[in-house]
Amino acid sequence: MKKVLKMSGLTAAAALMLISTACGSNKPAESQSSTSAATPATSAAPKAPTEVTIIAPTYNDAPTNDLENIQQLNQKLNVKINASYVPSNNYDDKVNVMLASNDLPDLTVVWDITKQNWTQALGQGAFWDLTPYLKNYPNLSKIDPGVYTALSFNGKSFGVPRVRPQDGHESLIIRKDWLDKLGLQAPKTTDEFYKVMEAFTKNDPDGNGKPDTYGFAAYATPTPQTYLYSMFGSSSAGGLMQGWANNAGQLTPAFASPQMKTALTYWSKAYKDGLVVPDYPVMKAQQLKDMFIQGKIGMYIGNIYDIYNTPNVIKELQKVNPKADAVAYELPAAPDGKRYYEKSSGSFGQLMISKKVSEDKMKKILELMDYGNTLEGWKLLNYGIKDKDYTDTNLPTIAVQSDAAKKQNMLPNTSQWIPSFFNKYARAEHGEMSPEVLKYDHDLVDAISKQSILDPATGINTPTNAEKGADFLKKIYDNEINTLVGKSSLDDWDKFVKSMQEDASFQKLTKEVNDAYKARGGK
Amino acid sequence: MDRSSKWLDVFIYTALFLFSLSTVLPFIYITIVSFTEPHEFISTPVMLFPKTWSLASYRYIMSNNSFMNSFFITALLTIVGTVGALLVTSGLAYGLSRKRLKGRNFILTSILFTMLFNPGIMPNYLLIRNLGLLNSFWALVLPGLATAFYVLLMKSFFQDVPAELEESGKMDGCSDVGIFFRIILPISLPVIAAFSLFYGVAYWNTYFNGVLYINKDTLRPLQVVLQQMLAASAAPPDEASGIVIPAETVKMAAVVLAAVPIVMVYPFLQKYFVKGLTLGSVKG
Repeated sequence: MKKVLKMSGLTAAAALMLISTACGSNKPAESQSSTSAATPATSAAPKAPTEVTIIAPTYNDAPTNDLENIQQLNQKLNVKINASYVPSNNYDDKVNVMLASNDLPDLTVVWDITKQNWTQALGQGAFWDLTPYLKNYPNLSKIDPGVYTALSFNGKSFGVPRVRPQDGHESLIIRKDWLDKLGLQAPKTTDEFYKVMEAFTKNDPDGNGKPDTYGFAAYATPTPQTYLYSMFGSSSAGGLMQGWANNAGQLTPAFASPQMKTALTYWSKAYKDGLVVPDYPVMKAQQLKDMFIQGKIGMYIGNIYDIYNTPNVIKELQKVNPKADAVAYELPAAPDGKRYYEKSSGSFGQLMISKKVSEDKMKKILELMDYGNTLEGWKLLNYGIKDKDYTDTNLPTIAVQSDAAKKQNMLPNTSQWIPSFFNKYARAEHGEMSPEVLKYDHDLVDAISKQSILDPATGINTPTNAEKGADFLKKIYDNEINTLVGKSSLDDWDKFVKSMQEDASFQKLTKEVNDAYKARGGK
Repeated sequence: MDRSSKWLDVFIYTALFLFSLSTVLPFIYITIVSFTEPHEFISTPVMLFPKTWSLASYRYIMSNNSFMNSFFITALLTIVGTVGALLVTSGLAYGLSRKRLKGRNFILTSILFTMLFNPGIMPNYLLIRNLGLLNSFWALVLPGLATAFYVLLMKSFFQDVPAELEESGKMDGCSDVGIFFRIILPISLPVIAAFSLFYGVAYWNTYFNGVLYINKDTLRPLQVVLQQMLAASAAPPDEASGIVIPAETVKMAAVVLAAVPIVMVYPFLQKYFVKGLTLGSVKG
């Protein structure tokens, strides 16, 4: 067998050779530049700028490295930034290929180190262990230790977190004018929430005489919105196996909790009664806001600032109906009387430094990261040059970018490869908010952060998960969606949970998670 | 009898008309939407004619700094790639179609092998990297020069060319290369036209290779740039701060821009298309 494979490899190689030489021989290959071959940096003489190569995802066009704000950064820190950007939807593919061929640049944005190829590379020492160095950098050492823990591998930090707020991504956005028109209050419990959904669906809140509205919409593509379950206290948080519940020191998977079944019972009834948009299984996150603006739905769960973030929901709604209004509220309380929110891990991926980089250069990069964690540094890379690219507002973290700067694609791409400035209220602030709304939204974040729960297994990775996690998750998603839309019954759900709990690999995974949790000092 | 067949005709025509309409409508709809005012589309997503025609979406795409450049790159890539691919594919196929080629079976098997066993992304990437082609125009051209399946199709077409033609060329003292260019290619125009369309479409749609092998802004193919503009829609919902999500109309405009050039070439090649494809497969 081995021999055959060897032979076949040869044959394929020969064919490829033939194909490539067939034209290579009569066309001079020109301009064969290979900039990506990373040469080990020699300890540069002082004064010469250190070149830092970077790869980062982009959410629109790729900005150039000649931007004025990059030049300023270069001068300030005596570096030479050489960043390249990959469209976010193919970022994983590209980085995986570069990782496997040992082609990664000095600094890489890594979204999820729990994936198998990253755990492997980390195990082989492909990246700098930053644990001993971080304490020397004032801003990086100020980042909440929990954020580092969530991103650690075998208890060590191999990257600088791209910090993000932990709360404010989960609020109930409601058409205030619909509530007023039907004489309702914002729902405080799940029962009231059901009544509001019913009213928004059946009582013609938009007054056009047609039954063309839905109470609520959620998305299930590419993965189901976990808030629907976690608001009932199942403690799912979309992480490892959709989160874990802490039962007196034992971690159990959230999907197997009784609260999860309560949630599924509730939602499948709502779906059957036609209160939820029937396209739920194929809905994408972006569509929720679109449908809200179109006046098709009265409620959805999203970021607090969604209402003002482009496109401005209220403005769009008022084009059609001058009285329209939208407000973000707290989620309804679960049947046990408590409100449950998912606390985010406080980061969205991390910035990892290749082991090919010398120690001096690694320190230089950390200096760069440290600066990128200050308000000044973050503003420079996120908005550009003060008074030229942006104007300040009365909020320190909010600036208004000029159209010219937007056209240069500064925002938000050049800030993809820095840790960013930590702002607790980042998901609740927007330049177009009135002071009253701003204060209301800040209070909302404060209220939420008192109640939100961090998934106890955040940042834990296990060998079984790296190997089989994706398959398990897919099963969980499929069964959740099918149960919710009534394709399978709640008894089927029970059977599914039972079959998972009896699965030897899943038992192993559960044990590994608990061991890791205890090793981390979890109680 | 007559009447019933007439009704049958009416029925068949109606069915066919409806069927073609169902295939054409999405394209019409996409085009219409791309010319709609973005705000208007949000409030009335289903329409056959926009209230106000607008070029806003196209302006948004064209305003992209690298749009024109990538358009040029992709156009050049399509021309160079298609011409190159036709030369390589037809040359290879013609050689393989002659029984007197030594090692013919081995080469054929090798080609077939690449069809059956795809090495995957990694080996391809390593190959391109070790050839020093990363970040060069040729990284986009070379991998697509010969598609195994097309080589085999062409080969079977060339096998049907009467050997007498070749002999007559030999009599007049023409070399193998001369015969290929002066006799074989001119009579194979239908096939060449058909495959030029295939290769042209493939090169025009170059996307993934552009992502993998190119890190330079100046070399990005058009599809990559279009994809970058739409990538914001795929941003995680709580990550969208400051990202301007392009309107649905912009996506449609991107689709139109990506498809139109190919759609425009198609009518000129269509007459060869049907003929060319079947010529190679059926003796007659």
